[in-house]
Amino acid sequence: MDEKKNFRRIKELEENIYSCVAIGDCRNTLKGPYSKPILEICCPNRDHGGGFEVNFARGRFTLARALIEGKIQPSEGLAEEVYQCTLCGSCREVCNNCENPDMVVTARENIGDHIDIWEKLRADLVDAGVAPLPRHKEIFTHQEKEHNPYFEKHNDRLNWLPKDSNFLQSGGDYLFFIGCTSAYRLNEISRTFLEIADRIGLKMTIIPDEWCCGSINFRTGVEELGLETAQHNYEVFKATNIKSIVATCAGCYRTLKIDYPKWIDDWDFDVLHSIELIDRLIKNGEIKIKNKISGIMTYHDPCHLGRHAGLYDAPRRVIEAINQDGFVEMRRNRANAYCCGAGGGVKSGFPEFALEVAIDRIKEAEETGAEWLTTICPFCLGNLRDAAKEANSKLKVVDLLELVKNII
Amino acid sequence: MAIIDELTNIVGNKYCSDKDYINVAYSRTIDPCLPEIIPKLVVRPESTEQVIEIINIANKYKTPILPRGGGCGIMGGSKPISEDVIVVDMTRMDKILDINEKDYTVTVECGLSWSRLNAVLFEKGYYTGNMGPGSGLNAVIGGGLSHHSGGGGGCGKYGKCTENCIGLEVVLGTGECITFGSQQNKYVEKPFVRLGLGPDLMGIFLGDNGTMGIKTKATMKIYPKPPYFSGKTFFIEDQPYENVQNMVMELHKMGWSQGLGIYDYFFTPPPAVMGVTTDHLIKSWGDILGGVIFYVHEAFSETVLEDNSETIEKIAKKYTTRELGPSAEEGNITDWYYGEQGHWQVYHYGFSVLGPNYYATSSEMIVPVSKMAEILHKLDEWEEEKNDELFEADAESGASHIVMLPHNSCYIGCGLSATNDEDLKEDVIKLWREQLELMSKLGGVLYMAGQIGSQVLVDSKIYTEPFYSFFKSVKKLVDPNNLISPGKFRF
Repeated sequence: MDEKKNFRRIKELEENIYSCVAIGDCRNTLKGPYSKPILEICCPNRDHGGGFEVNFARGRFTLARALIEGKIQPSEGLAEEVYQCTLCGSCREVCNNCENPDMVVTARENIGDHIDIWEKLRADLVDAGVAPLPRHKEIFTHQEKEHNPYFEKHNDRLNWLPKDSNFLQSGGDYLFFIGCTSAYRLNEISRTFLEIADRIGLKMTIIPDEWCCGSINFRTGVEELGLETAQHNYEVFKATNIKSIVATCAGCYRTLKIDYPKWIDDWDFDVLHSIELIDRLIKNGEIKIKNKISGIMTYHDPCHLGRHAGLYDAPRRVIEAINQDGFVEMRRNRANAYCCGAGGGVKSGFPEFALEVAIDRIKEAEETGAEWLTTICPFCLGNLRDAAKEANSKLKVVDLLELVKNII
Repeated sequence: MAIIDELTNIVGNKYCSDKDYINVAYSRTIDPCLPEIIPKLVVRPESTEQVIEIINIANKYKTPILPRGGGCGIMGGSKPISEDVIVVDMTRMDKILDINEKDYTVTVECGLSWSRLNAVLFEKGYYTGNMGPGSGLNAVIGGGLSHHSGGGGGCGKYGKCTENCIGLEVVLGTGECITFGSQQNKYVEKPFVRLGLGPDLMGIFLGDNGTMGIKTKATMKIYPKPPYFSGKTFFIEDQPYENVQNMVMELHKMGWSQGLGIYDYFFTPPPAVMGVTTDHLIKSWGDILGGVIFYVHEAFSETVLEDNSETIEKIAKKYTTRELGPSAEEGNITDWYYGEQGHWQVYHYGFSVLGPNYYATSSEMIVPVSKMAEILHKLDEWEEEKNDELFEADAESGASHIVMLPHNSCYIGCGLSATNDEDLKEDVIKLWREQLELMSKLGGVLYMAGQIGSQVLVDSKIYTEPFYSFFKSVKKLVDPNNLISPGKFRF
C-alpha cells in the first residue's frame, strides 16, 4: 500500500476516534437548565450542507473509522465533504458535556480534541493526494512565494501603515503581529490599533518580514507549509528581543498561542489578543473613556478566540465600559456561539456556504434588537459584513477596536 | 434512467447520495456490535409527497427501504442489513406544524428531534411529558414512536411515548398515505384524540420498528409543565432488588404519579453502581457497594410538592440505607439530571463510559414490578451459568438501570458489555440473542426490538402462532412487496 495513503495521523488517534459512541449530540442537543434549555443547533455544516450524517461530527468519525479500516478509499469528493467544516469546535463543546464537575464523564475526554482530529484527518488527506481543495492549492502556491493567502505581494504587507506611524523594528512594549487580513484587506483594524497604542503611549514593534501566521495551512492540513511559515516567524520574532506578542486577529491569536507551541519546541512567547490588552488598560485606568457610544450592542464570539482559546470575558468587559445603551447577548453566545462561517478554509473553499452561515448569524444578531454587531476578528468581520449586505441588514458590523478608538 | 437519477429528480442533487464516503456514515448507529454495511443509496426527503414518490420508486425497482431518524438505536434498527437498500433519512422533515394550546396537542413532522420539540414547548410552559427515548437528545419523534420508547425522562408519570400519540400520518409500502386518529373523521378540524371511530389501527404502526410504513407526521399530547420539582437519591446496601420492588409497590398504593406527582424513578442495580464507583464517575458516590435509586416528582404548588416530598421520602427511608445528597456535590443525581444539567439523558454517559475498547448491547424489556426482583435474580443466575462462555467472549452481563413506568411495570435495562474485538463479535451476538430469549421467556416484553430483537422474537418462537400469522398478514397488506425494513421480524 502507498505509504502516503496510510492515514498515519488518524491511526495514531484511533482510540480517540473510536471513543465516539454515535449519540449525536453534535447534531442536536440542549444546554442549560431543564427549566429553560437552550437549543443548540450547533453545526453550520449540518445546517447548511446536505445534512447527511457526514456533515456533522458523528458521521465524520464514522468516515474516519472507515478510512482507517480501509472500508472506503480517499477521494477528492470525500475531501470536499471533510473540508466543508469550519472547525468551529461546537461539536467538541456539546459532545457529552456534563457541565457538572461532580459528575466525571469520559466520553468527551476519551475523544479528546475534535478539532485536532479533523485537522489531522485533513493532513492525512493531503498526504493521500486528494486534498486540499483546488482553491486552497492556488492560495498555497501563491503563499509559498509571497507569504500571504490574498494573492498580494509580500513587500506590500506594510503599505497600509500611515507615513507618520511610530513603530519600531525591535525593542518596544509589544510585538504587534498584524496578520494577513489586517494587512491586505481590513487594514483599518491595524491602523486603529496602532492609533490606540500611540494615544496611550504604548510602543509597538512591527516586523516587515512577518509572514502569514499559517492558520490557513494548519486548518487545511497543509502542515509542511504551516510549519515553514511558523519557523520563519519564530526566527524573526526572536530577533526583536520582545517576549509579548499582540494580535488583532482571532485566527492569528489562536495560531500563535495554541498551534505554535505544538510545532516549535522553544516557543516561549506570551501571546495576547488586542482586546485583552485594551481590557487591561481600561481596568488600570490607562485608557480613559471620554464619551460612551450610544446604541445597543451585541457581540459575536469568534470561534478561535472563544471556544478555541476560552477568551469570552475581556471583550464583554470592554463593551460594558464603552457602551451607553446596553449590551444584549445573542441567543447562542460564548461557548455556544454559532460560527460566522468563514473559518477552516471554508470562506475560500465554499464562499456561498460561508455567506449562508453568516446570514444566519446576522439574523440572530438582529433578534437582539441591537444597533451594533461587534466582534474582534477581521475574518469574522469580513464575512459578517458581506452577509449583512446580502441580507440588507441595518446592523452596523464593526470591530470592537473601532469603537474603542472613537471614545478614548 | 437509473434509480439514483429518479431519486435525485424527487429530492434534488443535494439530498441524494450514492457516494460511499457519504453513505458510510449510515452504516452505524449506537450499537457497535451488529455488522456495519454501507448502503448504496441515501435520500433525505422534505415532505410526505416526496416520501410517497420514493416508495413508488422503490416498488418500481423492488429495492428495499430503511427509514432512519436520529440513528440512536441500540438494536440495529436503522442499520442496513444489506447494501442494496435506500436509506431514507427522515431528519429533514423536522418542522413543528401546529401547537394547539387549547386542545393540548402538538403536530410535528416525524424527523423532528425530541429535544428541539421540547425546547420550543418549554418556552410556552409545556412539554411532551414523556421526553422520548433514553438514547439521546438527537433521537426523533418517528423513531421513538417506532419503538415504544420512554426512558428519556417522564415515563414514570406519562408512560411510553406511544401512549401519548394521538394522531399519525403514515406512508405505506403501497405508496398510500393514511392518517390515523380523530382525523379519520374528515370533518375533524384538528387532531385531538386517538381512540374512537372504530378500531385503533394506529396501533399497527406504533412500536412497529419501522416495518409497517414510514411515519411522516405525528400529533402528540402536550402537558403543562409543573413549575416545581424535587428529587432525591438513596443508596441501598442490602437486598436492593427486593427493597426497590417493595418501595415501588408501596408508592403505587399511595397513588404514584396521581397521588405523589412522581415523574421518574430510576434504580441503578449494584453491578452498574460498582461500574460507576470503580471508575470514579460520580465522585460523591465514593466507593458504595449496593444499589442506588433516584426519583423526581413534580407539582403545581410548593405546598403539594412539600407534602409529596415528605411522603415519598418517608417511604424511601424505610427501604434504603442512606440518602446520597441532598446536593449534587453530595451525590444527589436528580438535581443534575433534572435541574441544572440541561438534559435528562442519563444514558449518554453510560454508553460512552466504557471507552473505545468496549461496547454494550441491550436486552431491555418491560416486566411487571411485582416480578422485577425475581427476574433480576434469574438474570444473575443466567450470568453465573454462562460464566465460561462470557469469559471466552470477553464479555460481562448485567442490569444497568431499571426505569419505572406508571401503573404496574418497569423497563429492565440489561445487556452485555464486551471487548471490542472483531473476532469475538459472533460469540457476543450469540450470547446477546440468548439473553434476549431468556428475558422474553421470563415474561419480559421486548419493546425496542430493532433488527436483532425482532428476529429473536420470531426465531425463539416467543410470539403465539396466531399472533405472528396475523402480524405477517397485516405486513403483507401494508407492504405487499416487503420493501420497508425487510429482515426485521423475519419478514
